[in-house]
Amino acid sequence: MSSYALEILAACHDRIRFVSGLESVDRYLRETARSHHEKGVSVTRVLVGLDASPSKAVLGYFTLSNITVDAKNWPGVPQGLPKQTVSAVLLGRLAVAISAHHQGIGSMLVATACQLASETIARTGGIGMVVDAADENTVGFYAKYGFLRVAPESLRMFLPAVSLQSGVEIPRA
Amino acid sequence: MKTTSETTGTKRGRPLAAATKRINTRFPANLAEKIEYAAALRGVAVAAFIQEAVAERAERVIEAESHWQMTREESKNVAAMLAHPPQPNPAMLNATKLAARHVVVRA
Repeated sequence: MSSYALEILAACHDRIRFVSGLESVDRYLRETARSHHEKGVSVTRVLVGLDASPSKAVLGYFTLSNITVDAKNWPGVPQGLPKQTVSAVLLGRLAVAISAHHQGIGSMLVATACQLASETIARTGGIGMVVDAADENTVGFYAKYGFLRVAPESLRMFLPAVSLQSGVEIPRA
Repeated sequence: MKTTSETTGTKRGRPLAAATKRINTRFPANLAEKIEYAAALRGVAVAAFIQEAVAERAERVIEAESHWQMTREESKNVAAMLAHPPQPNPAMLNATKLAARHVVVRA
């Protein structure tokens, strides 16, 4: 009884009419997301109606990329961080169309992003998922799902790899 | 305010590459005055001053999206999270169940 499909952003998606209320994320979807995919910078996936036909209305989207993480050997910091540079999955952007608010779409996008991140980490390694929240409201949104700030006041949040595994499988077509 | 010039070098600081591409932008009058004043304090051309500042900022933004050099405090917090990874909370479990019911991931 699926109602939505998550697809990699392509020409069949209506990027122009996507309005989330935050101009920078709308503009990223319109102008930058596809070229970032082509260049290998990041991958943007969009949520559309299961039976939508082109040009498909975008109900929400998120962008995942790799980020390298370096922890210097700071004095006094407990052991446990890898000594070498390691990777993590970065959830750089996530947005829901204003017209699709209050349907749980944001929560489903977060859950799906976590599953994809977890799969990437299972295949090639990584310490977890990093999230860059756009503002304090967005920090509250991610905190609800268990993401923790990496420092007080920081808009960057984190969830370890193990915490991304919920044991429930989101199906693949 | 004119923002571009044919400047190929600054009197102070790093020499800039040949300025060939024009980016048109308008500044509020008070910001323009502030920039001109700051450039004068540094003794550099306004264009060179803007280029240097913007280049620095662009570098930081791009860097932040691909590399994370953790501060001491961040290292401490992340190490603690990795040592005691939280269980998925009820909100996350509900979100995942909702997604499992309603979303199909296409290749």
